[in-house]
Amino acid sequence: MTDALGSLTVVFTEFYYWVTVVFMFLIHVGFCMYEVGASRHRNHLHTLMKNIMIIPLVTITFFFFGWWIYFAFPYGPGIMGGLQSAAHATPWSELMGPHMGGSPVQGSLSADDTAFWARINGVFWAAFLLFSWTAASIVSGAVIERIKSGGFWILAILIGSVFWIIDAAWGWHWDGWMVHKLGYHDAYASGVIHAIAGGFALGVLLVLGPRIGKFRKDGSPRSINPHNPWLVCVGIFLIYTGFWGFYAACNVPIIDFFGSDMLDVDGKTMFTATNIYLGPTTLSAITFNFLIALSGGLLGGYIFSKGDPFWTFSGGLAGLIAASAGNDLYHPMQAFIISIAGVFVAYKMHHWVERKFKIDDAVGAVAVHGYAGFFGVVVCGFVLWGYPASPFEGYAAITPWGQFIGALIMFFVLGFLPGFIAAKILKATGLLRISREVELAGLDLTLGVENEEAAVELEQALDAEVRN
Amino acid sequence: MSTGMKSFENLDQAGAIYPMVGMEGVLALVGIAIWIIWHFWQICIENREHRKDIENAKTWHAERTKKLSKNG
Repeated sequence: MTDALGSLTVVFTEFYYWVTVVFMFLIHVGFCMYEVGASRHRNHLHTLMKNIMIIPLVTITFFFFGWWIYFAFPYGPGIMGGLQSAAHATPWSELMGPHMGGSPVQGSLSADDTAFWARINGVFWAAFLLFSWTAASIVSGAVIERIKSGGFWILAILIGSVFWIIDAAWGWHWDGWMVHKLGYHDAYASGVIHAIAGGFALGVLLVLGPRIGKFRKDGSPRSINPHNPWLVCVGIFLIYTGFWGFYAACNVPIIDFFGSDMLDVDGKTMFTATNIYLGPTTLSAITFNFLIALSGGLLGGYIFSKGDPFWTFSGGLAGLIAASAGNDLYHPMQAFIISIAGVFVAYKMHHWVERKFKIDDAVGAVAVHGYAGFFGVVVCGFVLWGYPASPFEGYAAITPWGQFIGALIMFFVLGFLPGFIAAKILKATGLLRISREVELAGLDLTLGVENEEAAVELEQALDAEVRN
Repeated sequence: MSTGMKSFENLDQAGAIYPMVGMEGVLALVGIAIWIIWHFWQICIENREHRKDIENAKTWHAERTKKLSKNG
């Protein structure tokens, strides 16, 4: 950190990611409001606790092994090569703590690497970690009012600190095997976060089963409406806000595109932002597309649901998610059309799957994140067909088939299958679902009884004080 | 519990500045142990709560059945 321009670039990048992390915290606030608003009165506190404990559990496990997975797994291992060295990302690395970057700490790290990671490691780790919370929170909403907290938290760690970060290493890393071989492109994580979390939720829901009363005897679904639609809608508003930070966090803010760490073209200098694959984009471009895709989603959601507030707000999210895979490169009107189509797919698929397979997805998470994300990855392959997936030589270009295979890997291989298997194991060990009696009475019943007993005891104590 | 830093004169050469440098592996193991123990502890607490919930739910069901039959 002795060269002035290099130092400024690194310190700016450090501050940039720090700001995105603060913004992304709002996603989690929004998810909590959304879930609590969607649950019934008798399950509020349980629903809130189930979601909030994602934060500490996914955070510590992401420190222990999630961050290492991202840097160790880009080649599979076993698909394009073995485990990669990730000396700065192990929980025992000196660079996972306060470090001035002055001396190499491991044999595989150069002095420049050490100086770089000393500044960037914590904020970059945190940016990825907030994505991890999001992945787990998406699943959390789908399973409310009947899952055991202990079982859910194990699932949250699996999706938040293991499976999503494997998919990020494979398809959301400049050197990931899916980018090399398939030309996989998913700049703002339609598949990498949303399709995988939606697929995982679907796998869990299939084993968990619906809430009591969700389906009539003839199999037709009942509406279990949010007890507080206002809280649900404000929650989604906050998720939109955090999504801004998420978009910014998906970019590398400043890099010399022709410099020695990049393409290394003699005599040329060009500072630009890039996507996670180090392909050029601008914050300006993604700001256009973020707002236009959100608008398309809201407009589509309103029309397809005939003005239902829940689906209009969720439509905004689904539209954004559908356009996210290519929002670094789309024209705003392309993002607009894709977002409307994405909402249509999510809305129709949600109701069809609910009726056909009796899946009780309490907040539409599988639809908004899973189906819209899957659609977004596939459609990106058509719209960006032939565009280089990476600025470096030897990578496949973006194609519809590469994107389709990528979407299958995200939704089914790394999402649905692990969710289904983990839920089966939890079910076999009695850790998945609460008992029928408790579900009918509500998960907060004992707390209510205890509060009532404590209130009566306090009244009696006060009466005794008055008498004395 | 010293960080090993005595002055900032050679800050450009400095590496890790937290206490107990060299003990990171042990600290990580302690953290992992706390995490795993937490899960076992939490499941015990939840199972206990759940048994209590079932007892309270039986009372709740009995009262609700009485109320429903009274209302015809």
